[in-house]
Amino acid sequence: MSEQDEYLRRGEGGDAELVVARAGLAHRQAALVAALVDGGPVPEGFDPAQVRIQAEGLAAKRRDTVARVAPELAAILGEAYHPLFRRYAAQHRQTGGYRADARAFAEWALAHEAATPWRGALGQWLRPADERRPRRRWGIR
Amino acid sequence: MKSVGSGTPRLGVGIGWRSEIDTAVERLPDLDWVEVVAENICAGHLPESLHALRARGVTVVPHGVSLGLGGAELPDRGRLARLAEVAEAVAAPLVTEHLAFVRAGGLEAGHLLPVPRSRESLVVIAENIRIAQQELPVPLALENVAAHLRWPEDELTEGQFLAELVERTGVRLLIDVANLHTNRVNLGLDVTAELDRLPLEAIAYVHVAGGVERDGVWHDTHAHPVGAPVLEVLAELCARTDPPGVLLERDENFPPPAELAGELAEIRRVLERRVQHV
Repeated sequence: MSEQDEYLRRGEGGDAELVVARAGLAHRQAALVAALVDGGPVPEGFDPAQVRIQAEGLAAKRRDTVARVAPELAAILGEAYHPLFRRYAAQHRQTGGYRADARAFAEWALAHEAATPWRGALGQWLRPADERRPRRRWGIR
Repeated sequence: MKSVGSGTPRLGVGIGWRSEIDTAVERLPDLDWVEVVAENICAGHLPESLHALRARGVTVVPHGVSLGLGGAELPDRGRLARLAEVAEAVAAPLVTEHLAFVRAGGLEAGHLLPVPRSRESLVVIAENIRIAQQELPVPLALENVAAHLRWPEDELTEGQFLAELVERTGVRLLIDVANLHTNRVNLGLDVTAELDRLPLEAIAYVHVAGGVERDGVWHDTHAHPVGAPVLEVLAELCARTDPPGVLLERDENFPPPAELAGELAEIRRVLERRVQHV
């Protein structure tokens, strides 16, 4: 048995109680996370108001983290950033890192908001037109 | 580094090191130790600031946020290995993580979520902790989390659950007094009773952080100054035990260095009052 198999076996070890407990916990945790970040139904037994508050907290953290890794994006959108991100996040679960989330959000905003003052700047941010110009480096951590 | 009790290092008063405030942290007077978010640093390329602090004898403790030891899955071996590497790179006396899960069913929550505190999940989480302990080169301590929701499965309070985990695995505790306050406001937790349920001798250190109350909900923002209610929980804890370490967490909306120093001084005053009362 390889070292990795040995590692994976440890969680089971022939312990039926543990196997059943892991499966039950996996099922319940998956249902809760789906409700919190993927628009799933509130799992049985939870207080819907508490789930909503927790979901809003997670969405706000995602929004603020995207704004921190891509401050230029939040600056371009200004006051529109919060409401737009809220709409975007409600329809798009996060699949990659926060940089990827920022770009996906920008693409979504361009596709869904036709006449806005920030369109030009946002398109420029996504696809800098003139690659010969030295690109400004942003303070990305 | 002096030791107390069963080998728990005496850490003193510290602050969460963040790259945005690295020079401010380096200049803080009387700083004993720092905590670093383990996922934000790379064992092979430690920030110069951490080297400088270590050279001065400031202890560095890695604090993980992505293991999800409270999850149904086995802890990820790669993540454990990276945490172990960081611990060794900074010669940490211990590492810390959370009693929380962060992903399930292929979805990342992006934050620390409370676990169902049932007998069933106790079996799983105790096993996850044992696995982590085997993979890590130094002792592990687990932190109580801030929550906005409770599980219908909850049979134990967080304090009771942590006490069970200590008993089953020997894991140490990181008690976040701001999280206790958060759960008091949001979920009606009886903080005094909860402190009575904690195995105090297992405490490795204490977290202190600021937050804000909006519409009756406490948000543990780490972006506001530490307020009186959180310091009162710290004082309540210190009336029961002498914690080996206390750490101020600030993650956003960083104030001028003098304000951070002032908050640390405030924490020291709470600890000194404890000494006077003994």
